[in-house]
Amino acid sequence: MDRRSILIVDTGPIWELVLYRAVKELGFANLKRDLTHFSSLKAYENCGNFLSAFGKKTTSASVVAELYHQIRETEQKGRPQLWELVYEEFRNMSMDEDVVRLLDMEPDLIAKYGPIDVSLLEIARRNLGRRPVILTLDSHLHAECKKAQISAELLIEVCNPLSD
Amino acid sequence: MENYEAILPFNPTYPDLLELRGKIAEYVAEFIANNSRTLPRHYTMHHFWKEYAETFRDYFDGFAETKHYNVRGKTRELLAISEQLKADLEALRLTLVREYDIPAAPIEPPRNTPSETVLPRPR
Repeated sequence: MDRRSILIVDTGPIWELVLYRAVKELGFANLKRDLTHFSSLKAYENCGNFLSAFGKKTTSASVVAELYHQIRETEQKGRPQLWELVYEEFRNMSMDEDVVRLLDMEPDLIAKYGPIDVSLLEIARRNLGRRPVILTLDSHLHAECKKAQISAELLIEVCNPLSD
Repeated sequence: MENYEAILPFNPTYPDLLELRGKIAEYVAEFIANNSRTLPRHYTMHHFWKEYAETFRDYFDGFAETKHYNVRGKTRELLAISEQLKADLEALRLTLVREYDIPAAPIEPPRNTPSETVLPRPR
């Protein structure tokens, strides 16, 4: 992957990064069952390698809202620490954030895929000159990207590359 | 930074840190304080820290575990004082309730509903 490419990150991979640290560093054992992709250090490192190959990483403001919903489903007393991890991940991986207004998105697509997926597709569309790649764990979004001729990677494949 | 920038041409996978330039010292201080000897690979500062963490070894030593004993001890003391204060206030409250024969004010319930306390949400 070229460092000039831009990576657009969906909620799932970010949440997985946060969960991994919450389990490993904070000892939030209850969240371990939510950790679906980073089942090993190797899987986590493979994802890290993939992410580090991109010079620019961004996400959508809608993704941040979805992270809020994820965190709301956890025990109240641990939520501030989970938010701290979200902030640290964003800061440490130099994550950018784009806002896509509802009125800039096609109503038909919103009805079909929801504002989060459509906002990611829109960010990709805005950055076509920078060879955008969407990272998700959602196979429906992945399929839709392929249909729209936008590069996309599934987190499961990133964590377990064929070469391993 | 100059050293890092000098090795960039020989390490094409290393990111340039131009956007972080003014914050490098802040990051380094944070890594030292958090005893972060290595960083995850997806962090922008991963390669920088891999190259230069060792040069800050003396500072790491200053933050060795033993140096924190005092802080940890004081933290425990403060927690104990806080718990005791809570218990004392509760006792005073009950004394006043009895002394003046007034109904005890309800204690505010936690804001979260029972469903929110369940971990985690099924996917």
